[in-house]
Amino acid sequence: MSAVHCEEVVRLLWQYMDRELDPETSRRLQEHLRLCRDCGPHHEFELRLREVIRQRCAGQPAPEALRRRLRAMLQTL
Amino acid sequence: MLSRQPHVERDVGTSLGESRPPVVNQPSPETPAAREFAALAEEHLDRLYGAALRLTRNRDAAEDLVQETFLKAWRSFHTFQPGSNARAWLYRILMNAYIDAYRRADREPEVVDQEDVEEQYLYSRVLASEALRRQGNPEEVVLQAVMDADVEAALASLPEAFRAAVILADLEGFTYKEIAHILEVPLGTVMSRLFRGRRLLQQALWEYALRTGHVTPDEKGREP
Repeated sequence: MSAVHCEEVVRLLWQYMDRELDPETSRRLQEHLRLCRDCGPHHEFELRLREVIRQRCAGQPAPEALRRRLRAMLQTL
Repeated sequence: MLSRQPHVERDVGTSLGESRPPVVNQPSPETPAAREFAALAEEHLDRLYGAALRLTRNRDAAEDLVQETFLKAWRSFHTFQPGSNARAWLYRILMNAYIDAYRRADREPEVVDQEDVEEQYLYSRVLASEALRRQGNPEEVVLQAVMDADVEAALASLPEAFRAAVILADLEGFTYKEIAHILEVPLGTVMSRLFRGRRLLQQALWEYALRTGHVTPDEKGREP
């Protein structure tokens, strides 16, 4: 396995989590994260943080008034 | 502005692939294209409103923005290619409408701030804080603080360009390439705005945790 250093993992971590790395680099990071006692917990923290942010910013449905306004507009098309 | 895609003759019989019940409680719109558009609007309304609310930070403005978006979308619906990414197409129109209505009106300059915030700000605070470590599990303390934090307010505090990138990636789940298309900026710009936006958001959340006493000043760790 080609070595990947912790600094590189930290630099690429968000791209890895975003699934934006090429398959080979992604595989190398995945392997490193599985084994590294520093980067593994770091990755876990970032995953949980992202999930909390997503939950706390969960969307709310559009207001009924807007829905009605749009439906009225769409009727005129 | 909104009609960049080459005009194609619409096959009005073509489904968009994701069918939802058409607009209900009202007589249906007259033409097949109008019916198709109404279904599209219904399908994406809630998510678009959520994104509009995060962009404008104001309910009335968000409602106006969504209405404007659908109006503009309908006007260029004849250029929309069936089978292409309807969601990205709508968000691009939303972003354009938002920029037309707000950024240009305010003459808000593009934020060019080269001063860097370190990568993964919160985790570096976790590592830096001796006091957090003494408390037991620093990760848990910080995550609990974020859970209790006003995350929406923290997001709202980001400059618009960074906020938009974070909304599109982390709340709406678009890829970098889709965001580049929606915002009409290069891929590298998407990445730099997104990463900086995330760092600023983490910094805002940490400051919130300090202000609310979830993390006491003694525990904040040394600044780098």
